[in-house]
Amino acid sequence: MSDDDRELRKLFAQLKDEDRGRTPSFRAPAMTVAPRWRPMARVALAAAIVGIAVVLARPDQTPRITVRPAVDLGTTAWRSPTDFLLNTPGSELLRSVPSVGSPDDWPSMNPRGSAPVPESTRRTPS
Amino acid sequence: MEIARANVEAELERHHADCFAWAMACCGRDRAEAEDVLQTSYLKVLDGRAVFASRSTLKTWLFGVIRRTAAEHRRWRALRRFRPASLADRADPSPDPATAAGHSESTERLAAALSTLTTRQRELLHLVFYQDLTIAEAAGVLGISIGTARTHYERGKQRLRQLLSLEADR
Repeated sequence: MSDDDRELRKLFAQLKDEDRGRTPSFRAPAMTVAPRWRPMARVALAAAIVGIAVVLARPDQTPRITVRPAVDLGTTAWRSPTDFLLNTPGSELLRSVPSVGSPDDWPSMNPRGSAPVPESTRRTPS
Repeated sequence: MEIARANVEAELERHHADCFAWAMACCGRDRAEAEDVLQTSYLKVLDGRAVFASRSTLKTWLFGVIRRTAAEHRRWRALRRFRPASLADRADPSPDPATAAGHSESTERLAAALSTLTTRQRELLHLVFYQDLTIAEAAGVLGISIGTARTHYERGKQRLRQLLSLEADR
């Protein structure tokens, strides 16, 4: 041990001696010892807080009654946005029944005349 | 159970003066805080939250418990500073008059010089010179390697000598 060390040790010993007189008396914290149930109570309290938080954070599963504005269906009409694709030339022919007129208007048929020859039996001139 | 508790209490009483001095060193010589830290440490020992595993002497183990408790108190105080309500009841950082009074001039100089060292240097010098522990035991209390402890010890000692000689020259 060097002389400097001895000097320091002497100073610390002096400090220690002076501190001794001011050390508070020992008092065992016997009466203030935390009872054994206290940690369990803390756990129970923490669990209760977590439970409440879970209940509050859970999404509401009860059906919600929402008031919707009344809609008059008679005044509404739905139109497809692709309707214009159906407007092809001549499409009106598909939507209407062609009129062939009344049988009275047809040209009179001659029952005595030669019946029209079916196309399949027609002979071509050689 | 009661016998064991009585034994523990007897051991605590035997080391009480050293423990209080160490608590003072850990709390920057704030007497009120040191008493709180010591009571909390004793509670930890008595209710089994701190368990002695016989890996060191009882005294160095107790010092470790006190050091950790003091660190917890410091963290708690640091957190309380962020609370607006704590502004009013914040402790006065000036030294406790009861602690400051009654010291000789040389020990006052020593305490002032120690307060300028780093925490680790101050703790090591206290453990070695005040508590008469070896550097290895002090390293065990602080939870550092012996090599690191030796480095901090030498630097702290050198710095302390400089400060004391500067003070003496004034």
